[in-house]
Amino acid sequence: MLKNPTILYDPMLCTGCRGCQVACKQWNDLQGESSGWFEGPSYTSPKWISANTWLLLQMHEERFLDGKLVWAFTQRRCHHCQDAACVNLCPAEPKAAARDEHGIVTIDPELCIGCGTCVENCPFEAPKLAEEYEIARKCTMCIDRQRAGLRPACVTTCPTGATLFGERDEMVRIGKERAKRNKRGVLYGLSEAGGSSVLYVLPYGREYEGFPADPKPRGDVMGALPRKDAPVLGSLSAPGAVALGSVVLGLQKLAERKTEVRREEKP
Amino acid sequence: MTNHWNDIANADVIMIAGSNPASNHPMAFKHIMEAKRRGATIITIDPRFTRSANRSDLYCKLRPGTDIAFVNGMIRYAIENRKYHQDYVKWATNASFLLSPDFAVADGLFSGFDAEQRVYDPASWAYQKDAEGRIKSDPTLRDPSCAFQVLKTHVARYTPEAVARVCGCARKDFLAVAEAFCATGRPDKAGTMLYAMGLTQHTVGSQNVRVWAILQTLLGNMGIAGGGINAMRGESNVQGSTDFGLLYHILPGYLQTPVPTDQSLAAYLQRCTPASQDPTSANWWQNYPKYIVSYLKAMYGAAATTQNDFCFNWLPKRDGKQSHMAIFEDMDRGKIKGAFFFGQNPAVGGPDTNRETRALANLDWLVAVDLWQTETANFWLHPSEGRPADIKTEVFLLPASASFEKEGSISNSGRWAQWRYKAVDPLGMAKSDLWIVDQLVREIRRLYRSEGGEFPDPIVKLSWDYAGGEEGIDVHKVAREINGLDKTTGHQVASFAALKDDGTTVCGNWLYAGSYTDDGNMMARRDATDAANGIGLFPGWAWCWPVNRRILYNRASCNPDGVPWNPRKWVVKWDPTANAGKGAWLGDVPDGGWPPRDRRPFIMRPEGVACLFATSGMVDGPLPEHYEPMESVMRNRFSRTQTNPVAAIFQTPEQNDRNFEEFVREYPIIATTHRLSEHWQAGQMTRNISLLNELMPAMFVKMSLELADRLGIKNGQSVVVTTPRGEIEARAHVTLRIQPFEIDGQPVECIALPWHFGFIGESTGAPANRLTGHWGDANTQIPEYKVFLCNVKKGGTA
Repeated sequence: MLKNPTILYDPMLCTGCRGCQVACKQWNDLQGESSGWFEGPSYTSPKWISANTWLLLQMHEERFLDGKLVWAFTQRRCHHCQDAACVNLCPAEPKAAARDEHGIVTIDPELCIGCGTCVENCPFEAPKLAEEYEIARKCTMCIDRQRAGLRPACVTTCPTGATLFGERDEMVRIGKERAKRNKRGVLYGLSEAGGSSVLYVLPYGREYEGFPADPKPRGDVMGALPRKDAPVLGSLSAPGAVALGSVVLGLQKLAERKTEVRREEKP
Repeated sequence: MTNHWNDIANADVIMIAGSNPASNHPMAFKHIMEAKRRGATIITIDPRFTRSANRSDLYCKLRPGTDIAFVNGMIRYAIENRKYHQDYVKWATNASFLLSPDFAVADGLFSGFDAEQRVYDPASWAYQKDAEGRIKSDPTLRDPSCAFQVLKTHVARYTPEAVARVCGCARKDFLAVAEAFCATGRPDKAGTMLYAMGLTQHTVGSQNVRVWAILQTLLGNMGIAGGGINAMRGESNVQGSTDFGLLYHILPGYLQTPVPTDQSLAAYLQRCTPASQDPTSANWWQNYPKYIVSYLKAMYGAAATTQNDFCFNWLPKRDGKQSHMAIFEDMDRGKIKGAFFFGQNPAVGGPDTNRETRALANLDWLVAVDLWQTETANFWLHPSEGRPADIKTEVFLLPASASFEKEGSISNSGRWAQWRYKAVDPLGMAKSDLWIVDQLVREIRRLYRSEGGEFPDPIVKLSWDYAGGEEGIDVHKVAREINGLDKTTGHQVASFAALKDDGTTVCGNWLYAGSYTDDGNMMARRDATDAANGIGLFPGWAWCWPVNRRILYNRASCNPDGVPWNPRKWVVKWDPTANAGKGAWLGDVPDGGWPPRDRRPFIMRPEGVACLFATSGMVDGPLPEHYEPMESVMRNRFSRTQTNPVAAIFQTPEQNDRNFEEFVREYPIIATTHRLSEHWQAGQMTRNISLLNELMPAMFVKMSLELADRLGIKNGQSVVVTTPRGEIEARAHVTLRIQPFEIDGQPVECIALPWHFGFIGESTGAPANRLTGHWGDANTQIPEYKVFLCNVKKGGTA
């Protein structure tokens, strides 16, 4: 497993094939969802990230002032922030949302109390409540695949290298270089939210994609809770962390099964 | 493909025309983006602003069906501005060859046109020859009757202004594309051309490809790394199925199907084997007799002898052009009583599906072999005429195994035959196609033996010796027979050079000789080491026809002395010191081992060179000429010949000379059909997958903001699209990605329809092909799916 595994997404290499969105669902066993029409702009479907859509390839069309038509793509997903609102504000004891020593932020389904604090506060609107299971879910950066020496599913499937994966230093180097190729290009995630494990090349500037300049907790529901900075996983020994990583999905399945059982038991 | 997928990365300019690899060949974009990383320019020309256009450096729109006007304009640009590769043109093309004085072209018609039969007699499309039968030439290219001058004169009408007017594009956009692509005429630059059905599915489909071949030849882009004419195939093994005689007019290895006048093997060989008096022409097809005799030995085994013409007369003879549309016309007339559809779904994918569904109802029986329920297997649920209860056709559905559930080879677009092992057992009762065909052959033979029948010999004496394997039929035995065997030695042949015409060799497909030799299954090789020239040939990975040659016509990558035009990206080169001073070619497997000057590079043509002017091979003219699509908003501006005069027409087009303008008023909108990356072909394999239905949830009609505005339609609302063939309801996808074309100062709208939808599956929608017509290309009879006229109105319940 990499020390600081990082994903770099560059829309200028993206063809919008949406293999990432499908591969994410396929690996994580998430359901397809559809209202029968494109709910977002252009081909975007569904409209936004949900408990069943951890990665959304968003598309929109625009004609710039110079007359050039741009069909812009971006990935909406968990950024795996260093200064993560979900981790900071998680009221569960112990915290369900945690950032491990590799920088991967996960929500432990066994510890999640389904309060929705992370849902309300994530500046990127990534965690969503899976209502049937009463827990929050989101991208795990395929931590289970990483533990097995594999790259995240969205990365493996990408045909063009638009979604890259590697050590943070390397991704930052490539990202900066690629951002520079565009007049208004920036590399996002370098310092935002304390620096995130998902970096974005934003060729038309930050505002164009609607990415916040200073990602802060959004909500007002639980936003006043006292911050707890100590990461849960920080205190774990390395083997403990490994074990935890590999059981995250297992726990999730377990929680699902328990919920199913609960539901079945209801009259 | 003359080249192959990896080779795209070697290109300096990539032309995407009549294709949309970002959507339909997503993995191709791996190589395209690698080329871009190395500094390549990407160009897309397309009626739609596609996902490929979005990633291109240059984009030019063009009205559907005007590719020839556009590319003839580029040819004119290359010649006028001397952008062509002059040394290449002199050495490797027929530019200098003198043409018969009888050849003429007038008002869009070439000499030899028979208006009554709607065919050309190509006798006047010929070379001038000397007393010894050798072609006369003028190496200075100045003689007005040389192919170069004839081409130059022919394209002179295709000025940038004329192109812009007919294609509905901006003159400056056309010129930017012409300048960028024609820059590859330099010896050290390479331009590749990637096409798919956007070129072929027209009444001028073959000439659409031909016109690019002429330009690529002029620019010296054939045979070089990063060059070529590259057909991106639409299914994983469509290249393989074409190699193996899928089409009605060819047997395996592109040998020709016999016709009734081929009353003997000698007569057939006389017709099919070309002759050349030019000692510098390899004229490779002179080996034709070896390939057909070895094929007949594979078909009929011991029964095939020299005394009986190797059972040549057992091969079925075709007395027409039995392409897809012709088959359905025969079905409609009741001539065909039963049909097998292996992984085919014409009730969605066929042109004019109402007509084709009506034809299906004339069958006594129908067998669908597929992974899923298809619209074709269930056509009786929604017959185009009458009630389901009135349909008498008996339908059988045989569950087939998917590609990962069976062992065998897949030939990709780059001609690489890659062997694949079986990963998992088939689900339920599903069986491989091989097993299904084997069972059919066994049972049909048993019936012929026990009950007799008309002309039983070709069936009961068919050589069918493949027993073995876990399914009862051994795919390795089939593959070994395809490779070929020398019966005198008992060894597998190493290449087609070992095949003979005396009945001592057996070979199922001469092009695949070398794929499964005494050394084993070459297709199963997985050596990822590149060759010495470092251009991504990977000669030890799988196996490629012919003889593992990765780039076709590669001798054209060198000058007449065997020195590469571009030493930085050389494909082959002649080393005079090798082979004990006799010299040898290095690099890729060359197109023949002769020393450079001994033979010209285009060994499959009897002339030995590439043809700027095609004396044979095309039924609709030796040079590409612009004709309007069968249905068009405008009269042809280049001649008074409105449409391809020899187009394949199976259904009288509703638009004609008399009602031309009236028809345009009734159907004023251009329509084109296309594919999506999220769905595949007729949709059975993808419309049953919820993860893909999420991405493309419904059938839609792509239209401009202007059209939507005019019709009072908002994004997502239901519309009705009509043509004289039928109507469909679908939801409007209002987008900037399709724009009206400016024709004579007037905007002409165009809509685009994905054709993946049908009424069976998890996600359903109206088939776009209810709108298309039963006419197509003059050479191949492929339907004109890519352009027709329609009307669009608000309404319906989609």
